[in-house]
Amino acid sequence: MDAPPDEADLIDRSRNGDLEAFNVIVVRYQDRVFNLCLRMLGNRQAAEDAAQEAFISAYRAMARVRGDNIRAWLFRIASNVCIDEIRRRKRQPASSLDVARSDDERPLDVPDAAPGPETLALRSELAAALRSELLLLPDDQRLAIILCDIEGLDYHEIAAAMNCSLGTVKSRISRGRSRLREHLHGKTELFSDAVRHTE
Amino acid sequence: MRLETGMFWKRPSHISDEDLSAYVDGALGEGARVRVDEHAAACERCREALDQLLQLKASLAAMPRESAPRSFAVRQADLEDRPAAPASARGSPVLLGGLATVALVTFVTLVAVDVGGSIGGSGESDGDNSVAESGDQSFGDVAAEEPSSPGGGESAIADDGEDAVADDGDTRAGEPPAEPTDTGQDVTTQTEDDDDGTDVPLRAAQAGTAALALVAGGGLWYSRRRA
Repeated sequence: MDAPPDEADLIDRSRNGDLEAFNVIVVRYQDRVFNLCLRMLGNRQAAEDAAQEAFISAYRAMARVRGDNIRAWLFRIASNVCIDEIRRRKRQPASSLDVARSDDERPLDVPDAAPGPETLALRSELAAALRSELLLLPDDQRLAIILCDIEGLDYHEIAAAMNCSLGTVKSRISRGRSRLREHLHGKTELFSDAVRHTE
Repeated sequence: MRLETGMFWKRPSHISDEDLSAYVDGALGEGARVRVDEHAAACERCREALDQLLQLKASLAAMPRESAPRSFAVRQADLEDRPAAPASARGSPVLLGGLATVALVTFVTLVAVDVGGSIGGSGESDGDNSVAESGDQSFGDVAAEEPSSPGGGESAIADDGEDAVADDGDTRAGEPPAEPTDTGQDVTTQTEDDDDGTDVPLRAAQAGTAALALVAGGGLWYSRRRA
């Protein structure tokens, strides 16, 4: 069986215009980029468009990129595309985030093996609450929390993805979490139950 | 690590929200982490806050993920269908670069015409000073305003620490004007005559082209940075 292509090699080839090599990178990261866009925009169609736009922009800019942390770099491009889209929506109130959010009310798939119905219901309720509250956060705090808590990046990678200092990352994550804690105050039982069921 | 303390009375110190949050992410140094451990063991409020943060982090991490609904592989047609500039750019870099260059050349030409006309026309040093002071002031004003145009759109994601130094240019713009009263009545009259004549539209044109050059240059820089 062939070993998966080395990422550094794929990046080198992509820099030289090898679209096939770049598309191997796309396949590796497309789920994560799509999820980032979905959490940022709260709407599937908009997230699809943003993810596609991000990969096209990334391919165009490959020749200029330095370093080998392509994950943080792709997240940076995707988040820029999302923030542009959010600003565009704010300029056109007819397609605001509120409308987008109502688009995304159907429950997301839960990939666990065999969770019981009670666990599923709790998780679904908690996920819906978190998804709504995330969309109410300021863009920079939402992005920092998505990158940290959902995508699992460390502070250095988040700083690279958001083009800001480590202190700013720390502050944005903290402020975002404080708001979430405040807004989800009445749903604390959901947290405890969900954590208990997960364990 | 920061501890919250009362200013006028002694009250139990607590760990700041930022440090609790960094602790949960494993982003504190060894010493700070030990201090949080020791403090939380004795402080119910901080322990409770830590528990909530841990629960929140676990819940966010457990949020269901979706698979991409389709392949986002880039096709050759995608590259041909779209303009060369990335979607995040505010405008075409070629267009912005061209605009900045044209505006800059126009500005330099206007200044050259202005200075040349003054020297060749009157040959009076008072007139030259008037032009120089007036020109500097206009340019200073434009320069002070320059960061707000291209930077404004970026504020949502800009580094918080940068805001504090944004107004640096104001000190130059706010400098007191040069003293017009020391010289005699004739000089004052001469200066006013200059300003009321062809200089006013010229100054406006200079300021306008300088502003255009700065804005287009800023836009070009911003679009390249976003790419």
